[in-house]
This record gives sequence, structure tokens and C-alpha cells, in this order.
Amino acid sequence: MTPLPAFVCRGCGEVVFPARVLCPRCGESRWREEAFAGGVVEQATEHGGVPIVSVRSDLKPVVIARGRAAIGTRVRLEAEGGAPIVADR
Amino acid sequence: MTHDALISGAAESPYARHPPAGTTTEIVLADAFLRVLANAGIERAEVDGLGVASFTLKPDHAIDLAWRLGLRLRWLMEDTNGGASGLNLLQHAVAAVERGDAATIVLLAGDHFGDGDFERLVNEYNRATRDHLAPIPFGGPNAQFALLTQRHMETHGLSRADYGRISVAQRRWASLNPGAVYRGLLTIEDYLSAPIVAAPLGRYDCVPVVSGADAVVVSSAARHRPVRVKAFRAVSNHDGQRADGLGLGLAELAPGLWDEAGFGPQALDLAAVYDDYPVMVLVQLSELGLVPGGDMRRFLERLDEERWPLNTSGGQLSAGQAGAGGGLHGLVEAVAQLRGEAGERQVEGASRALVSGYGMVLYRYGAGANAVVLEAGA
Repeated sequence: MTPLPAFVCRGCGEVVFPARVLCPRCGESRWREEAFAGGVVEQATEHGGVPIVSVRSDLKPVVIARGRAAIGTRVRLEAEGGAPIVADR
Repeated sequence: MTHDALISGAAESPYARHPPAGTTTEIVLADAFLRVLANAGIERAEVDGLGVASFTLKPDHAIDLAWRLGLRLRWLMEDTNGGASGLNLLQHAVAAVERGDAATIVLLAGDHFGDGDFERLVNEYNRATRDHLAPIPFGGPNAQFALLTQRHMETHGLSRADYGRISVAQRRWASLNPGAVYRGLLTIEDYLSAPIVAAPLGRYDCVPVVSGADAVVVSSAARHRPVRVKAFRAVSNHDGQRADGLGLGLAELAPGLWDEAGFGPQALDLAAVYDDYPVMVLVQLSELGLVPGGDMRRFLERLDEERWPLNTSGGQLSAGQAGAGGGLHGLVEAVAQLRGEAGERQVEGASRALVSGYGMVLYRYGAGANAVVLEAGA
């Protein structure tokens, strides 16, 4: 597992995921990466045997990730083979 | 105001779950082209404008299609915006006819999905999808709209059975449409007991993917029974994918839309709303002012028990989703109704219609929406 990067605007601090070219808030084009720590599961489903959740991250962006977790629980956000995944906190 | 350009023809190349061997995207688009010429009563040589929307025409583009259909054109467009592409094309075509850039424009939208085409499309829909969703593997938009439907259920206190009324009501219309791929009547029990695809979405919340194409003619003159465009509004990337997907930006545009149309939603005889999932039908109708007082349960009762004419073809949920054709499907149905050509499902005396489009999931939900108000002309 590897860290899952969020993108932080160097102009105003806005955090986005997936990446943008220009900051939607201030128009800045320079970004730095910051690893997502975790967040709270807001919705959960399963498709074709793959559990999928929507996570409101601590950094703000909502991330769609693979993993089985109950709605309302706190999870860690990481990446595996490019896929955002959730792991127990 | 009323635009001078007229919609003077509408047709659909029959949708097929299992098209005959040898079917190609070009063949279904060409079939819709020939059918719309016949419907409008015009010759190929009169066509001087072409607009095309298709996911699977590649590596060809609109100009290749013009070449292969033998069209010499003054106006050419291609739109890649899926469920929003049909009405986007209409917006441009109306302006082009009014400016005199072209006199007779055919708009075509459709797709044929061969082996693996659909999977490729959903996994490479855009870079965000390819990079962050395909590796999950998320399996396509059913998962995204399952998550979105959960948000909508929670926000509005609705249950699965509420959304099911849309599928059931549309299937009732589909039973009267020989062009719909699913025509057998559906009960709410059938809906609720169907296999779950991605909770809370079951089989009847998801569109059947088909091969097929849709077409309309936009022109400065019409042979018979033209349809007039009363008002149009569109919005793209309303919120930068930073909200919940339950607002498309149509609510902000609705007052201007109805003001320009010269009548309100209560004066409509029918509506054709982009129905990739039942939840999106409710979102569009709410934003456009068709749900009085925001009372969705009451609106759903009206739809189901009083048979209010919504998606009278059966919609994509029953007629099928022919890729980008879905963006033109509702317009074709509304034009057929306003021209009195809807056969057994004809809404008596239909003269005013709303059509809306919705498309292009960037990451979590669609980012394009548009709406047009139509009126049967003299």
C-alpha cells in the first residue's frame, strides 16, 4: 500500500481530488501533494463483488474507494495499484 | 420568445439488445439518418448541416460520416458530452439556422457496442475515471449512482419503492411503444424483488445498453407540423464535483427558462427527462419546477397512479440506452408526441413539452445538464 495523494493549491490552500490544472477557487496553477490521512464513510455499496465506499476525507475532498466499511465509521485512505482503498483506522 | 428555427423531423433507428451480426455504429447512424429524412419529407441533397454525437464512431468523426453518407455541408459539429450531447447539438443547430449558416441540419446520436466496447468506454471515460476508479475496479456508473441514490434517499426521506414508481410507470408507457426493448408490465413487487446490482440499485434502476441511434431535423422551413423551440438553457461543470451531485445547476436556470417559454411547468402536456437512473429523473424534475412544493411522494403518485406523461417512450430505463443516443432519445419522443406521431402512446392534444439532458460523470456524478421547452407549431 502507498499513500493516496490529495492536491493542495499553493495559492489559497484549497484541496482537491482528483487533480485539477487551475485551482477552482483562486486560479493558481502550482500545487503540492499531501497524503490523505483518513475520513468518514458516508455511503457504501457493492458492485460485482467489489465493496465500494464514498469517504468524506479529513482534507475535504470526497473519495470513492474500495473497501468494506460501515457508514459513519472512520477509515484510513491509502492506494493500492492506483486504486484508492480504505483500511481500518 | 420563440426561435425561428423549427424541428421538422424526428426518428429512431430501432434499439436492439442483441443487434444482428455485422452491425456497426455507422450503420445505425445511417439508418437513423434515412429514417429522419423520410419523417421530415426531405431529400438528402437538402441537408447542409450535420451534428453527430457518438462514443463508438471512432476513429471516425462527424466529417467521416458526412463523407460516407455523401453529404456536402455548410455546417458541421460533433459533441462528445453523452447524455447532454443531444440538446447541446440542438442549441447550436437552432443558432446556426437562425444565423443562416445552414438551412437544414440533421442531428444524429447513437452507438453500437461490440465485444468489450462498453467496458472500455466506462473504464476510459476520462482520465479521472481511468486513474482513480477503473483500478478499484468500480465496474461503471452503477456504483457511482448507487452512492448518489443513497445520498438522495437520506436527504429526502425516500425509500426504494418510491424510486421504483418511476421504473414501473415508464414500463407502462413502454408497453405501448413497439420500439422499446422491454415492454412487459412491471409491478412494484417485481421491482423490489429484482436482483440487486449495487445497493440500493436493482435491475430495474439500471438502463439496458442497446445499439441504436436517434435523429432530428432542425430547419428554417418544415413540410408539416413543425415543433418550435420556446426556450433553452444549459450548464456545464456547475459545482466542480465538489458537492453531492443532487443539484445540477438547473434550478438557477429554471426561472429564466420558463420566463422565456412564456408559460410554466403546469402548462406542460408531457416531459422527457434524462433517465439514466430514477434518482436523476427526480433531481431534474425538482430543479425544473415540476415537483410542486418539493413534495416528491405526491409527484410520484401522480406519475404512477394518474399516469402523468413522463418519458412516454418508456425512457431509457425500458426503451434502452443507445450510448450517446440517450441524449437525443427524449427529444425524438417529445417531437413525435407534439407532431401526433406517437402511435398507441400518443398523449391526446399534446402541444407543450419539456426535454432535459444530463451527462458526463467526471468523477462522482454528471457535470452537464440542459433543458429545452418545445411547443407544437402551426
